[in-house]
Amino acid sequence: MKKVTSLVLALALLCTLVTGCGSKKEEAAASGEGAKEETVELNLYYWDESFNDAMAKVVDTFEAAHENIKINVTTIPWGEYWTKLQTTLPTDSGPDIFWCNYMYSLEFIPNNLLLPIDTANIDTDQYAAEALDMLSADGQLYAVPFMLDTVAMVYNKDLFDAKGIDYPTADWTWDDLRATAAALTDENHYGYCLDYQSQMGTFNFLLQNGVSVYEEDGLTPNFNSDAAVEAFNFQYDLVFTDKSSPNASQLSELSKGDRFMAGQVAMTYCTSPYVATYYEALGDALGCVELPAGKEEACTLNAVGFAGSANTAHPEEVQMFLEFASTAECQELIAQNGMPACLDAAGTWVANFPEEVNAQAFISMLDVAHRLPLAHKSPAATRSAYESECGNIFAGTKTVEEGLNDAIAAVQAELGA
Amino acid sequence: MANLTGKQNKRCLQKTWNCARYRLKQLHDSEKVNGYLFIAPLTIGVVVFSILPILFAFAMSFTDWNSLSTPQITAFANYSKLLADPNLKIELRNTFFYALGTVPVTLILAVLIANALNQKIPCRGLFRTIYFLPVVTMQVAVAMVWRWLLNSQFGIVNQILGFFGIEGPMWLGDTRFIMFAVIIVTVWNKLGYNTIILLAGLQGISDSYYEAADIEGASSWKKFTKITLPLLSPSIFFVSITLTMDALKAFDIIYVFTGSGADSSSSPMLKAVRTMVYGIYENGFINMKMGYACAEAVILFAIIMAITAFQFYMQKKWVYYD
Repeated sequence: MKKVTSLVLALALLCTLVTGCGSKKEEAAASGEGAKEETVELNLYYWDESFNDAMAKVVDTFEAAHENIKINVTTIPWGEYWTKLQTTLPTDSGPDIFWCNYMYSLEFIPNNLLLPIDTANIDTDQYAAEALDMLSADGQLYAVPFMLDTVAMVYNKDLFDAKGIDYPTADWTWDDLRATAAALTDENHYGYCLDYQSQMGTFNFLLQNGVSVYEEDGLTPNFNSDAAVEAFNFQYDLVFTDKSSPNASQLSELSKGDRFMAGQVAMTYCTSPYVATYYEALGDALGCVELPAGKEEACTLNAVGFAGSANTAHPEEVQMFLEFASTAECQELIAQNGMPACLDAAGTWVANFPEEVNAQAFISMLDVAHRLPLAHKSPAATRSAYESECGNIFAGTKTVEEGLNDAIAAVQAELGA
Repeated sequence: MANLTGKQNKRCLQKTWNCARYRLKQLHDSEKVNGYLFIAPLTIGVVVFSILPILFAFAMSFTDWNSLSTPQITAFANYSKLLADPNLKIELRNTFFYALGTVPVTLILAVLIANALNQKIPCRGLFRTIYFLPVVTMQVAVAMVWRWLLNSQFGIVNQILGFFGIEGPMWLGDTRFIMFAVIIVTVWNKLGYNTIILLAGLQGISDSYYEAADIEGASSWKKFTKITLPLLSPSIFFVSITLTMDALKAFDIIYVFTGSGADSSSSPMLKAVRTMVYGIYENGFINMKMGYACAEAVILFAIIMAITAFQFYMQKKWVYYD
């Protein structure tokens, strides 16, 4: 009897394993056979939890208009988001629709992972031309833009008031930044906080000093020119000569955002999605202003869009969602959380904050924004090679010239590979 | 068949039935089948989720796969590039430094604490629980909390050091100290689990040895070195093998201490703590060079294999099984 029992138990165990692995496939097959009348399920991935409310409304509105489509929403934190896409998209097990930014569109499009979008029913004129272009290749659109990231300066009014210093204005230059940062610095506070990475930090100074970070072909790095060294020296002096900003080692211990929200730092640069976070932490003490100008006014521009997976089983339904994403209705919903790509909805985003916060500064920066300068080949690896050397420069372990030359060599090695 | 009588028919059926029963009984009796069926669920799991991926990674290490494209075979290109990669040297050095820093310290402390917890001390159960607590907490969560404890301005560690008049360093923002911070947190984190294993080993040692030693008038030090340690050696061996393997695969704490994700890869602290697994992660998932990352994983596999084989070879000299 014991033997029979144990045999049955063992078989039962095995059965659980087999059915556990198999059930999903059967379900999928069943729903596929049901043809058009059955509900089509689409998976949507995005990374920013602060968009949960807005995204829920977007999905509800879309589902109300399309009864046979159900959208399952999954939020994956930024740290794992691209890893997840990287492993699921090619194996056909990933989302049907997902958020995609400019840098990863450069990775995904050449590998045929994004669904080409039919723009016949999409009003492309409502977008900034640059944003459309960033998410396209050879004139074909691959993601419907919904959010733009420009860079502006945020500051803590309380720290200015405490020292009786005037708030920064739109006509500031680098010299104003340096002088004021020094004046605001004391034992417990830094006047300025450097961002030693690319998009919110060093790239802006390079662009403002007239450096084209990569040549037109996107394959020739250009950031060791005299103008580039000059732009880096300016930031280097802020950190090491004036000691108006924490250096990269100190930032590695406590991040820029944490320091700014704790009221330890008076001024720093950030992209538009951070305004909501900082406003929550600082309240009305938060102010935004256009970036101080160098030889010219400039900042980086990043675009985020809704993309469809090229491997989706339901391309028609995905196209329907992407068309919906381009409507004014959807843009308005998104604008509750992030600076929308459609300029008509921009006012809705600015109105999320009191007028004194001046979130409008991020919209104003659009006029002088340059697309994020990335290599057209291996953008992720080249950017990480560049940022790693920026880390060395601003930790003080390499001089500006050494660091930039090493960065060029590392980037060229990646591009040659 | 048609002209069989009813009796014959019945007998024939009976025979078939007996035969079937006999076969079934034979099947039951063979322990083998039952055994295989019982290990099947686990074996299938290990094959599908561990062994096949290992073989797959080995195959991919000879390609230029970026995890998005169709892989192209590049033979040994990844390996030759890897051997020339300055990061690999840094990673090897850091990995071994970390292993040498964590394994012996954890081992010695675990043996001492296990001995202490095996004595009849007051609140023994409470202490056992306290030492085991870090084990049931997720490493990433542990690292997040320690990131704040070790903060040079607001952290409690430096405040305590300050109380004794020592000016604490910037643990996580100084290339000279960050590795020590990682080692300290690892030791604290690993201690509990290994103490419990050794404690179980200690409780398996028969009291009669100690009674005999008492009669002979042996000192407690003699008892510890001549009875406890030799009889505990199988447990110590197990603990040292698993600790070494874990140490060579260090990742979580380093990932969090350098700022997590994309922030990590630009952190100026990274070169002081980047380990081989960190390099595999960075190449595969940040730089999207999966084939290259697989090649590095194969090298790490070979290293762990060699060290474990060496440990097994050496055990003959110091491990006693009674």
